[in-house]
Amino acid sequence: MTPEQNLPFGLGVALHSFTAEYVALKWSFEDLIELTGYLGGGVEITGPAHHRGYPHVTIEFERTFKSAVERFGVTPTCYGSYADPFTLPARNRTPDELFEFIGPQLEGAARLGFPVVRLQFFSHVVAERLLPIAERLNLKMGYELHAPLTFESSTVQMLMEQIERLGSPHLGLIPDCGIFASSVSDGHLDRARGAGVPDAVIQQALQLWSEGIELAQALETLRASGLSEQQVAPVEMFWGSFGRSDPANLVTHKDKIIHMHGKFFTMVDGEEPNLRYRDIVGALVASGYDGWLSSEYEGGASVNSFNACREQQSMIRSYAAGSK
Amino acid sequence: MERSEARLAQLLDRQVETYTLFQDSPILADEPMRTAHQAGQDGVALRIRLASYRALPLSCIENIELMIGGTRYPAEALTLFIGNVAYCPAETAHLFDRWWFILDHATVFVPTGSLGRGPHRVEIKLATVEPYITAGRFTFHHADARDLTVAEG
Repeated sequence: MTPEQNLPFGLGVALHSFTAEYVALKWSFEDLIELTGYLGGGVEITGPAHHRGYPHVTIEFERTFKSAVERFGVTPTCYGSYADPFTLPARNRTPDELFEFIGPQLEGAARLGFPVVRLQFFSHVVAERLLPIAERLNLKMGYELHAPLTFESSTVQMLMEQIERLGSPHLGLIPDCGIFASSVSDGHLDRARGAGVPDAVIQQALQLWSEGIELAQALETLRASGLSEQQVAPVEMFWGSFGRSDPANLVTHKDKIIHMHGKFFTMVDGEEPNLRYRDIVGALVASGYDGWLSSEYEGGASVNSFNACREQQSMIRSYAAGSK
Repeated sequence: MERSEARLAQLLDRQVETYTLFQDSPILADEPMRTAHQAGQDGVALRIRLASYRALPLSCIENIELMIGGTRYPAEALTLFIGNVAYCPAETAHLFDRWWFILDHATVFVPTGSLGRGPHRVEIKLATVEPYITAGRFTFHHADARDLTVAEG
């Protein structure tokens, strides 16, 4: 945790935020680490995006990463693992295969100095088997709660029951702020229009979304209204990016929260218009959360991702100061 | 720590064009194709990039096909080189542990026979799966097109 004024928790960046510049080769991986030094200092990486040799950490990458962390004075906060259950067309990964795939990611994360590993929720079938590894490595594993999951959904109720049953400090939750939305972004609506979805169907989709209708049921209704198969993906993203979870859950379930993903899509006049950041930050302050929050920009490339993260972090700091 | 506004400006102001992933991802490298010879056939080699934000195993490359000067080359006709290892793109479904890293070019050999210098209209379709998106294997369809000349390989 960095000693930020008015901020009881640490700020950093998920390097995923810089994807546009990274894949276009504007910024090297080490440039990304350097930039986090200007954005709170917490560094979160994504395994398959940031190191060759994934799911294993090579000795070369270990040296590169540790040297950059030392040189730029930043702090590793979270390693993004994947379960990749649908890797093969013929069938899903078996539990043994999930264990064999995720185990090395835990080992690699620990070697790199990360205290926390993000788990995709599919990992729950092997979480109990992974716990002794996490304990040995002194790592905390956290299920990312990402849209379309919400605290209120049956999947997450199941995950929380498992966490309670296993009763280990090495297993918790990583809420992604995209689940605390008040509306769907204009960018998402534009993409749906661009795919030819009629306005009437978009309005119906938004109505279903705002009523909290789950994705599968909503798609059934929308298909009946004429949503074609090619148009499903952009509409599915309304639910895949934005959830209707209550930020009060951050207080209710504070004992399970080990890390935060500060997902955001756009900043307008210093605010994120579609996500309930005032309520989110208020809840984190009220709960006494003292871990890290990684800014995670997922808007388009028309905006410089560094400036977007800087603006989002200013917003978070001002909300935190205001909620005392 | 070596932090300064000047250094930050240096990083932010680098003049490199960026693009929005899954919408405008360039797949075809902006450079001439090279004459090439593979398994007894004459043709061209061109370099391509993955259109994702993360590395994918080859079992998640569902389809590659090219159109060069109006002639279609399906996956079965192509040879895909990842790190100098040759694959037939139509036969990668089982390769869960061979990876295409996000910053690496792959090279595609296309058995065009002897093509003139050109330029030739080159169109590519690339279908990839993100192996974790909630409901099951979720396929993204990417396309790119360029006018490319042929240089000696």
